[in-house]
Amino acid sequence: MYELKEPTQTISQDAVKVWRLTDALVSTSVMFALVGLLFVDTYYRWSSWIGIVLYVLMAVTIISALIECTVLPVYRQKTWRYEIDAQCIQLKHGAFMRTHLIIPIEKIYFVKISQGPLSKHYGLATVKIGTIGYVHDIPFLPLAQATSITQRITSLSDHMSREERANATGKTNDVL
Amino acid sequence: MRQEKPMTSFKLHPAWIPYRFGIAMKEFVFAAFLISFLFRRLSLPLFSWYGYTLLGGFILVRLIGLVLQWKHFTYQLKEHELLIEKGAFVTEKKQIPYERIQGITEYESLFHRLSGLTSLVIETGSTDSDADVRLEMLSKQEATQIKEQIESIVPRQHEAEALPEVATTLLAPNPEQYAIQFKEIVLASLTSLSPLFFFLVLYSVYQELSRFLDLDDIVTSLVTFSTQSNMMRVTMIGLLTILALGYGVFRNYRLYAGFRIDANQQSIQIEKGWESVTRFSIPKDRIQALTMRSRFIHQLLGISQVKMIRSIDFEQRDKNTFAVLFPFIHRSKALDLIPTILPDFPMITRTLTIPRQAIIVKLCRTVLLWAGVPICLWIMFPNLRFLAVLICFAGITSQILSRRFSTCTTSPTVLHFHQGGLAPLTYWMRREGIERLELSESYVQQRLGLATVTVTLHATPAKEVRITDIPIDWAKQCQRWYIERS
Repeated sequence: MYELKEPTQTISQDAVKVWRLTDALVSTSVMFALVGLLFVDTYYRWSSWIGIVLYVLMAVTIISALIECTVLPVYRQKTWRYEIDAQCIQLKHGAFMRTHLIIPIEKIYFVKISQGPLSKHYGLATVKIGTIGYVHDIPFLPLAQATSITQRITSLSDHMSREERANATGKTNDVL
Repeated sequence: MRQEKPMTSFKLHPAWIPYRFGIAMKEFVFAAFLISFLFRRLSLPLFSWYGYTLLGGFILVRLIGLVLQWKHFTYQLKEHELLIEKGAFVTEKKQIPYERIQGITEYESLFHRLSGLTSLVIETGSTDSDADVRLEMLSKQEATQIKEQIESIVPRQHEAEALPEVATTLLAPNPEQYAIQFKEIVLASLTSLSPLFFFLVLYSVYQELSRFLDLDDIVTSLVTFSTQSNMMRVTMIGLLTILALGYGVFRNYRLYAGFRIDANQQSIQIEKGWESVTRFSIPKDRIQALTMRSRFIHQLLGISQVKMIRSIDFEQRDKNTFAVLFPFIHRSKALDLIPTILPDFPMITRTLTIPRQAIIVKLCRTVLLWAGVPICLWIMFPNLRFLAVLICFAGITSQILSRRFSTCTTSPTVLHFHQGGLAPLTYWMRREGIERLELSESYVQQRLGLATVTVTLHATPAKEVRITDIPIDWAKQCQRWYIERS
C-alpha cells in the first residue's frame, strides 16, 4: 500500500537572489518605459487623463518592486516544497494561499531543464514537467540536482510504462 | 522486417463521384453567382454563349478532377495498418496503424441510403485537420469488414484493464440500452430556449434574401396588415409562437431523432439522425468524465443533458452534439442508466455537503459581484437603483443555494461532484482520467478549515473542475484517493 507523504525537498537559497535581480531588472525597464511615455505625454500634450494613469502606474510599479525585491522572494523560497517518488510528483508552495499539486508519474509527457542567463550565473536550473495540458515548474534548483531529478523522473516513467506493458501482455496471454 | 503479403487494394464505389459532385454543387452555385455578378458588370447577358461555356467548363473541370481523384484513391487493409494511397499528380501514401485509431464514425446521408452505401470516418486522435481518414461511399459489406478488422486489433490493448469478472457479468443479452422517444424530444424542446432560434433563422433568411430582392416593402405591408386590429395582432403573435415552437421541435428532432445507445463490454455505440444517420463507437475507457446539467425550466421538470468528456475530441463543429450521451433524459432515469451502460461510473448515494461556515468564504470571493457592481450602479446611475438591489440579492442567493445544494463524494473509481444552485451541474470523474489534482487553501479558508480541490481532466483542451470550500479533511482524503492504490 502506497502512502502519500508530505513534501520535504526545498529549492536553492540562491533562488532569492535570482528572483530579486529578475524583478529589479523588470521593474527598472517598466519604469523607463513609463518615464518615456510621460515625456512624450508632456511634449505632445495628450489629454490630461493619460498623465494621471501614467503616474498611478508608476506608483504601482514602485510599490510592487519594493515588495517583490524584499519579502516576496524570501517567502516564496521558504514555502516551496517538492517531493518525487515512485507514484507521483508533489509541488507545494505558499502560506497565505497554500497550493498543493499532485501529478501522477504516468501522466507525465516530458521533463526538461531550462536555464536563463541569471540562473546560469548562480548555477541554478528550472525543471519543467509537462503533462498533456500544462507545464509545471520546479524553480531554481542547483544544476546537478535538477539533472538528477530529470533522470529520476524519466526512469520512473519508463519503468511505469514498461510495467504497464508487461501487465497488459501478461493478462492478454491469460485471456487468449 | 516482416514479409509483406501481396494484398489486394480496394477502390471506393463509383457512386463516390456523383456524391462528391453533389457536395461540390454548393461551390457551383457560388461560382454561378460570381459569374453572373461579373457579367452584370461587363453588361453581358448571362444566358448566352459565353455564360454557358464558362459554367460548362467549370463543371467539366470539377468532374474530371473528381474522376481522377476517385481513380487514384485506394485503400488496403494490411495486417497491422490501414494503407491509403491517393493523388493523381502528387501521390500520397498514408499508413495508419490500427492501434492509433481512436474511433470510427459511420455516416449515412439520404443519398447514401438511396444507393445503399455508407461512409466511414476514421479518427486518429491527432489534432491535425488532415488526420482523419474519410472512406466515403463504401458498400455495407466493405464497411463491416473494415470495422471488424480494426476492432479486432484495437480492443486487445484494453482487455488488460477490464476486470474479468465485470466482463462476464456484463454480457447483456439485449445490447440496446437506451432509445429516445419522440415525446421526450417534444417536451424538452418546448421547454428550452431552442424555439427562440426560429427568430434567428428568420432574421438570417431575411438578410440573405434582401441581397437579391427588395423585401422592405413586403415586410412593412405585412406589419401594417397584421397590426390593423387587436384580433389580427393576437393571431399574428399566436402564429409566430406556433411556428417558433414547431421550429424548436424540428431542430431538436433533426439532431436527435432515432438516438440510440448500444453497449458492449468495451465500447458504446451511439446512433442518431433522421435524414442522415450517424453511427459511432467510443471505447469505454476513453470516457474520462461525465457531466449532467439542466437549464432553466428543464430544472423544474427534472430534464437534464448528459455529456461525455473524452481524451479526444471530434471536429469542432460536431463537438456539441457528438459528446452528448443522453440529450434529454429524466434525472432519475439517467442515474439508473449510467451504471448499466458505463460500469466505471457507479452512482453513490452517500454524499458530503459543504459546511455552513463556507458561506463566509463564498461571499468574500464574490464580493465584487454582489457588492462592488451594485454600489457602482447605485452611485453612478441613480435611475437604475432597483437593478443594483436585484443584482445584490441574486448574487447572495445564488451563493447561499450553491452552498446548500453542492455535494461531493468518492467511490473506488469515480470522484463525484454536484454543483448546486440556479444552474446545477454534476460531474463524475474517473480516477484514470484525472491528469492532476491541486489542493489549495487561501488564508480565510485555512482559518475556517476549508480547502478547494481543482481537478484537471485528461482531455484536449484540458478541462478544470473546481470543488470549492470543502472540509480540509475531506480534501486530504481526496488526495489520498487519487494517488494511493492498494
